[in-house]
Amino acid sequence: MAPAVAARVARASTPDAIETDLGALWRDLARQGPVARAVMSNLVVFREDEGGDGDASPFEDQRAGLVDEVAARHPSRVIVVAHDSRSQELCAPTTAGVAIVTFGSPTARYGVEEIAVRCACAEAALPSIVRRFVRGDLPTSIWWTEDMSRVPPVASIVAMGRQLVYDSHPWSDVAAGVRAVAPFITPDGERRRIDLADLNWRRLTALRQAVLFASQDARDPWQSANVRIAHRPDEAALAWLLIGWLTARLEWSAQAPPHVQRTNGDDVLSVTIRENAAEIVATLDDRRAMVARGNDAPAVFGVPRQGEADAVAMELRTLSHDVCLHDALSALVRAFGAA
Amino acid sequence: MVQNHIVQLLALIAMEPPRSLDADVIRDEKLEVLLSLRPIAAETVDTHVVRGQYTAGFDIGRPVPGYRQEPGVAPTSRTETFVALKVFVDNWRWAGVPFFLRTGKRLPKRASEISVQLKEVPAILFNADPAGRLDPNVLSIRIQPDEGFALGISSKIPGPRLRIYPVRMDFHYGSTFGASSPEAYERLLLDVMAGDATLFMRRDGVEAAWRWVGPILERWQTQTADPIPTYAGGEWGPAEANRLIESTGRQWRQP
Repeated sequence: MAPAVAARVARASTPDAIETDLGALWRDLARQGPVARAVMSNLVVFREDEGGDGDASPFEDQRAGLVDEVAARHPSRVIVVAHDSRSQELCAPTTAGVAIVTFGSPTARYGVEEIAVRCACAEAALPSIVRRFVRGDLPTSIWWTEDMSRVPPVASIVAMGRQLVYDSHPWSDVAAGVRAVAPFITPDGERRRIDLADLNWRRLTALRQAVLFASQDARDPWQSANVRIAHRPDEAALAWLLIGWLTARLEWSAQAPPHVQRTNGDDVLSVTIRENAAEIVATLDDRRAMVARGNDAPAVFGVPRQGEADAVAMELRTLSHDVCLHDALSALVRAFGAA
Repeated sequence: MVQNHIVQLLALIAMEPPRSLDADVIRDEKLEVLLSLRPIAAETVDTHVVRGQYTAGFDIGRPVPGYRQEPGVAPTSRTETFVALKVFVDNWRWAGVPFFLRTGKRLPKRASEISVQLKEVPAILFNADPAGRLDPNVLSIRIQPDEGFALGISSKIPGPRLRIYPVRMDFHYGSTFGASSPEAYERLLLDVMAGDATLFMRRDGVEAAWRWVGPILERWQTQTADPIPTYAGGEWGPAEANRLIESTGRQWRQP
């Protein structure tokens, strides 16, 4: 169970004074008793800033609480970059803030640092902001919180990290989202540049287990023409991730994907596979994945209850290369074409 | 910068433990290091030293001019704003151990750090996978800002599978004691008033440092036609500095 936030101290700062102000916050906290600084990684959180009150703290964001929850589960130096991409002028960040979030009992406190910078500047200037504030010797993860299909990741920012965390669930355009992530998929045989972590991909785990289970008794490899996929209206990206996975594993032609349709049913996803005279049906809802062949008893695979903060923290903690995701995305890139 | 600050840090980290805290005893030990520095002869300067000059770039998002565009700087200036060196201390303790030093202007952050990279473990047990070699353990001493030190090691992630994650054991003065350390010159001025010369270079140390640095400067003075490596403001130095250390299978640590 993640520790609860014990206290959060924050203050407005300026880009030049961030480290000094953080040091002052630490000293203020330590006067109440020692507090250990916990840091396992750098976490660069990128969000689009659509203007509004230019003087507002860059921490004031509806997702600020989520960032604290992630830090509670995986202590990181958090660097929030709120970028107004409408301006292409070369200019400095407009506002900045620092915070320290503490956890634990009064006699065993630990804290994590958070830095937030709001800027309206050309993308070329962004890496210099990140470079100033990341801590050396720690893995750096880039958390792209925007809909990648609408706001593609800035390549120069992503290149500074070891891991790119994103969520394909909110993609308004699956093809555009795939094209946005395509540049970061390392071709086979080349030295891996960055690990991709899609929070939406995690939700597919139980259904993939169910489909694998059903495939054990298949006499012949399934053909894409015999597969139909249905998804809830807001689960198009998940459906295409499943298609990418099946395409990669079964070596289907990326240009001939299975039939996919939108439905208004209760299931998040359903897969129907026609196998000779029988039909295999696998479904996924919020609690379980279930698969049955014909009239056989179904096999059930549980879906872990996991909030967004848990999912992000798990990815940060793992830092490994998900070959299946990589292959699925590669298949989707072939299907939709690269940018 | 190199002759005074950087060489002083090198001497502090490489010196033998003094027999007392008397200023001259400590300075004697530091002098031993300076006298043990392997000379960088003219013909080896190019393979052991890299200099650079910053060009236009960014500083926390702000566009900044290149060195030659700074007020008061000649447009054809060949003054280096960055230096990286590969140095050896030829004594029994440090024989064969390279010391990599670098300093510069317009780097991404102001920091002063010493990192001691421990020997890599053999390629067996947890380090047996050629595709996933363990990073070496590193002891980092942060001089300023953010005074403290940290030990970076690799740890197994709890669970049945063998997965390794780099972790840090971190000591931070500010969050532990709640007090700020004096600024560098505050400490020196206090020592001046107290008559404590420990942190000040003695004449023989200054001369030893200049004797060692001299051939490098002389070599550069003969290279008036060669282009100086450049780096964009806000980056960690020229590519040539990366090659200097990467040729040994290592890489620069970022503070």
